[in-house]
Amino acid sequence: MANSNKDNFDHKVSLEQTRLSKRWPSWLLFVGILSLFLIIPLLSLGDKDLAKTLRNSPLPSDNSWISGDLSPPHQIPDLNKNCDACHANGFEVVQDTTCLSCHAATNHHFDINKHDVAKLENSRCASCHLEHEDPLQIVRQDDQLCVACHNDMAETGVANTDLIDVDSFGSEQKLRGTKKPHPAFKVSMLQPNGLADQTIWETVRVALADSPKEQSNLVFPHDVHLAPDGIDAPEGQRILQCNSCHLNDDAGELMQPINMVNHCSDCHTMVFDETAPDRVVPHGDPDTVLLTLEEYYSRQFLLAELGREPTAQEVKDFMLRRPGKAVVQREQQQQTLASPWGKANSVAKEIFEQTTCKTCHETSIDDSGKHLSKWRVNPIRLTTNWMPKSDFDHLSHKTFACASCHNATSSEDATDVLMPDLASCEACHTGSRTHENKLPTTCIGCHEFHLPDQAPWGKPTDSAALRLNNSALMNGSFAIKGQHPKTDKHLVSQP
Amino acid sequence: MATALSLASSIAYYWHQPINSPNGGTWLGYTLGTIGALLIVWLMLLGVRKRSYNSNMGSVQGWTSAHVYLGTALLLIATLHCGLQFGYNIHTFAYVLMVAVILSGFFGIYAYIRYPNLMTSNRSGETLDSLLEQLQKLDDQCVKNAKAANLSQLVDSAVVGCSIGGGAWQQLRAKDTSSMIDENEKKVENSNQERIISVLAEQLSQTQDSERSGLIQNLLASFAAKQTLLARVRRDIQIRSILKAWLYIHVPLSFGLLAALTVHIIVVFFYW
Repeated sequence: MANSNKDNFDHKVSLEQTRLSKRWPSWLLFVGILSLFLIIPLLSLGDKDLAKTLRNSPLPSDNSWISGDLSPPHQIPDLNKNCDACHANGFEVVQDTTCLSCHAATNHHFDINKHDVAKLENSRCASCHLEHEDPLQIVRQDDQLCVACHNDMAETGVANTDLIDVDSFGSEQKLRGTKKPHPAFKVSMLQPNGLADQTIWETVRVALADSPKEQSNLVFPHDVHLAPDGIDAPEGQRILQCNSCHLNDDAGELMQPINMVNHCSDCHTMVFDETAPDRVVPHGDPDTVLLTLEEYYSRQFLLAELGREPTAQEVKDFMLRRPGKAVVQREQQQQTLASPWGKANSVAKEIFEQTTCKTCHETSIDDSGKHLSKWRVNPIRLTTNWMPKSDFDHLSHKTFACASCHNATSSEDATDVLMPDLASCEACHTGSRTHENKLPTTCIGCHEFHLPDQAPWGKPTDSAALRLNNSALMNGSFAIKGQHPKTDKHLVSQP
Repeated sequence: MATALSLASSIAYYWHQPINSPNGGTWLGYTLGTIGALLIVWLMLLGVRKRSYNSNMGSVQGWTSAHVYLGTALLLIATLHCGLQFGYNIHTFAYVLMVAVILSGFFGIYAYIRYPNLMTSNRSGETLDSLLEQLQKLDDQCVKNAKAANLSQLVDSAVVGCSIGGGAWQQLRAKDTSSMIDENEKKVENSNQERIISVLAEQLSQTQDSERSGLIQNLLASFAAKQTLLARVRRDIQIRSILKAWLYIHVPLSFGLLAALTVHIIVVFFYW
């Protein structure tokens, strides 16, 4: 092209002749972006105060590197936008020790000293707990976390286990042809062993399909108490609902323990003498019950024999049993003693063997003479957490009638186990890969990963973890006979 | 190749089931990110290839064609890489820059499809130089005739004040800022040479002298021809500037993107 003409005209006829340039804007953008977003933030990290000042100003800082917000639990001033609180060293992934500096009480998923599971041992906290992600969800919800190992426990490296392989839940087997559906439910149930006074309660795992019977030593027919017309109460007919006795605990997961004072005593008054409706035997120790009866009938006898309160001298004479006094007085003493004694014993026999105590308790006779009362009440232990291997939130299910899962209205016996089976859950819930108008639910919806009965998180070689592990074992806070410590806390309650 | 890459990325994205939601930190995220970064570097190498006249690494035409297709595929690959997670940060800034670069590139494609034909038909087989030469000749004639007709002051000012091209904005708008000095020695607009033509027409109407009348008629004919020529020249300059203007956005933004990409890559591994 002959530029001469253009030059002659002294006109700019192409963009190259104008002030427009590609070169300097390119340099400006390249150097500007590199300086603002990399060099200045990097240099500021050498000085904590400078880094803090930059972070709290509109000036460029390492906060421009934050790829997404922290999950809500981590949005605390110490962590939020304070990158090096977790990212301690450059070009190094966030270390477990950093997480454990706050979350020291986090437990393992299994006994790392027994099983060699490479998949988990090579995992870091941050392998599962992803931050700066959308959605802001620090706890993994996908079932791959569980199924990746539990679909074939032998291959995973756990050879001797009662755990059944599982790869799906709900309708996934039907709709997606999975091979290993969720196993049928088992319950963890307390079982008494030994004599009444030396009962050892052990937890046994029983399949619901085997129709387990609870041996709590309680006599309690749910059907009578839930009669639609109500139940005889001192003030007349009283209609009971499930929540008349069963109330959620503070966490909303389990039920508060049942006890005599709060849940039974309104109707079961423990009156033992119709002529004295305001006198009751105490609930609890059989010896105290017998003592109460003896004292009560002694007073009744005295009142009946004398027709009045004994004088101070009479009481003194009676109590001292002075030697050398007439035999007549001793016979009188024996009579005085025998009558209320016999009455107290006959009433005790009645309430221990037929009425008051026997209404709710299994009782037995102990003739060994070790106790004031030969009648003994067999101890009651109610199972409060039947399914300790899962978490069930009663509060989130409160819009459903109790009876939709617990068939209590037709239960005649306290030995009935009223826990729902797998089908009850699967009526509304299904696996995450299917819908079928049901709520997709992953493993973590019911099961925990970090199990409270396991050692603190950390590799066996971690001295800190070992130390924690050992101290916890010495404190006896770990599983005995495979018992869930959470179970220990919740499983047993004494009415 | 671009289609295969896009298809493979899309299928992998659909099939992949990451923890939480898709993001750049999964194995697929890293894979797509690596592909995307390599693509960006390669796409920017077109600028180097264009200047390497002795290169035997494929024709510039082939490179440009691949540049277009792979650049388009990059839009999909980078979007899948980030899993549609955006925020006010350097990572999304890099993405935004990349989208701006690609969109400016799309405009370039549009311009190269639409304007070359328009340019050819506007020029009618001529070149800008030959058009400018014709203008020069017309101007020379005008100056000569004006001198003879004693109208030099008016006509010369119109010739000198004739504006062609100009700044980038003027070129793109094809704006005519021509001016002239009128009979009252005032600078007045002469857009599309209308003022000088009307002044000459008035002079013609006042002239009794047949020789002068002929000169003015010649002048009028010259300016009328110039009017047509100027319109074509301005249109030509406009089309040529449009064909290049997008590169003044495309190229600097590419370098901005290269910087942001560098920061993105360093930072995600610095705060791993």
